[in-house]
Amino acid sequence: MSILFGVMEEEEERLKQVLLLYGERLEKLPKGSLRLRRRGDKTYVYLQYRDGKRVRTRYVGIEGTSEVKALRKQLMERKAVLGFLRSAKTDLRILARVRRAKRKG
Amino acid sequence: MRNEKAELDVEMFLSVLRALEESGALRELVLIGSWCLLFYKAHYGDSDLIPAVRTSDVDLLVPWPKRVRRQADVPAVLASLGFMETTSFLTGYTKFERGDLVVEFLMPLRGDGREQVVTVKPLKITTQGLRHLDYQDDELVPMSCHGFTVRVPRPELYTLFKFIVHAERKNPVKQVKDLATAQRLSDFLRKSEEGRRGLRWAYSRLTKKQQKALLAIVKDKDPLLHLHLTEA
Repeated sequence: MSILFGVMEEEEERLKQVLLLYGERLEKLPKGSLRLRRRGDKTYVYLQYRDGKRVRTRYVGIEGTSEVKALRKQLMERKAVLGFLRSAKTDLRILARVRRAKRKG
Repeated sequence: MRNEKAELDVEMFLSVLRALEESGALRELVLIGSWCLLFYKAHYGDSDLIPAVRTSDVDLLVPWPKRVRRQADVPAVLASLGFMETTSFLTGYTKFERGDLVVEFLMPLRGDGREQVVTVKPLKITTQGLRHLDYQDDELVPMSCHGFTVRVPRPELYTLFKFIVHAERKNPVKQVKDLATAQRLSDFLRKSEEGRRGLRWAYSRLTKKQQKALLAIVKDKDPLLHLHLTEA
């Protein structure tokens, strides 16, 4: 079992660092989701996000432009980072539980 | 930052590689599986974004079992380190076990997949065939960790294969672990221009069937990688 416990301790240390790194990355990424409005043959893209209790809307550009593509990519990245953060937190909780059980047993 | 217990495990693992190198057998072998992560981590400056989770299985690939010419008594080398040889009566496949570590020899399963276990006479071992292990020479790269160098698959290709393999796994625990590793490696590699280029290169090395399978997987499991691989 020593490999298992060694790896677990190493992973716990890594996950703590990961939380900080992903947290920093998340601060740099935009929040919200894209809303599309079709007028004539064009689709206009807006970013909708929460600001306290208010829901704000910001115009981004016409669908297909580089601004819209870049923002869409950033929102996807935010979603991925949030997923990693969530799973890192879950893993840390599990590891802490195992550590406690090991100490008792 | 690594703890003492993990250092000890790494030392145990490296002692196996060192003994195989001294016998000359390591030149015929490629390190695959979760222990590669240790080398990737060292290669990328000990980045915390590369997961450290590894299993007790040390998987060593024999790329061309029938072309091995170098003579080495691998069972004797491993026995001197305290490993016990266990053979499956059904298939004749042998593994080497010592407490926490299990050393296994694998080979790419080619063609119709009929030859699942092949004996490598010069090394006195048997190899088990698995799909998605068919690495070309330029898809392997020497990497160092703790002053020891071994050939490993290029991390970009390793990542893409992890995505493909996770979908074919029957064991749900391994499936989750493979996917988590692939997603984190992909995220890490995409952060640098070199990594992004590497992922495109790795994608170009896959067969059409593998490319199709990969895109179907990452569309849902890693949309950013999907975007990266499909945008012109």
